[in-house]
Amino acid sequence: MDFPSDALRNIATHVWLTLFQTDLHPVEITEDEFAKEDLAGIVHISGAWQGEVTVQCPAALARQLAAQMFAMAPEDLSQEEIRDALGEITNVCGGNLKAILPGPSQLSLPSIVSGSDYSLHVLGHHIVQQVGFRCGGAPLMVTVFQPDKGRAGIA
Amino acid sequence: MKVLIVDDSKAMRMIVLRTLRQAGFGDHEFAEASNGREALERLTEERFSLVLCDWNMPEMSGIDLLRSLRERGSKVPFGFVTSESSDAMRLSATEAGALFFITKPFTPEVFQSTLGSLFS
Repeated sequence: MDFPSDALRNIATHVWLTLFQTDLHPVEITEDEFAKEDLAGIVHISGAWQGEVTVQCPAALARQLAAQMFAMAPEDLSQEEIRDALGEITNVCGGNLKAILPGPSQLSLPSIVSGSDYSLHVLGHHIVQQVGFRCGGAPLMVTVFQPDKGRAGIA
Repeated sequence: MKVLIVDDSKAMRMIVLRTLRQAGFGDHEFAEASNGREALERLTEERFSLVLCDWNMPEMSGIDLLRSLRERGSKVPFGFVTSESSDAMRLSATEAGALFFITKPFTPEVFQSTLGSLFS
């Protein structure tokens, strides 16, 4: 099936509006904006539709979002709490995407990658849709990967 | 009422609790569990009036928790609060004995309309 053209934008804006009472608008974001310390949440969807959803943002933005979710001061959050928060944001985005894709399929538990100056690749998969936003002035990137044609999606 | 909130994400457990309060259901006792197995242990040892449970969790999923409870004869009111919402999942939830199915992200208004009768 053709991937729904506005799927990521609609899901991300819905999630942000409901969770954070924040409007998101798509903007052009380049990879080099993520060269400094950032985090990426990943969930895998398997079954009738296969692919991955990632949510990537700078560590400082992840801390701010986590602070809102935990209703705590940003400086009081642990790294584990920040990872938990971004993992849940990714889970919610992935789950909402799964709902509009062919089923039945399963959603994995989220994983979190953190560090600086890295690039995220899902082996044997390619990007089918990627949307950038600015949230509090910081870059936010939501991406969907799917297996390359002819591959079973196993590295 | 004593309410059990089950979700592997601590952040989401906080959001569920906060939203329950925003929906006007704050005058009750709340407890938390981080997966189905932990919830099953608590539900075996303590009496709860309502369970709000995520679907996809490590150790034991929400649907497996519900099925285990019903197999043991528990009739505790139980529903799902989950990021996933396929028709198949909703059907499985209903067949297993779930009373409601709330999709994340949710608002206080959704909690009010879905849970109001259970808290009254």
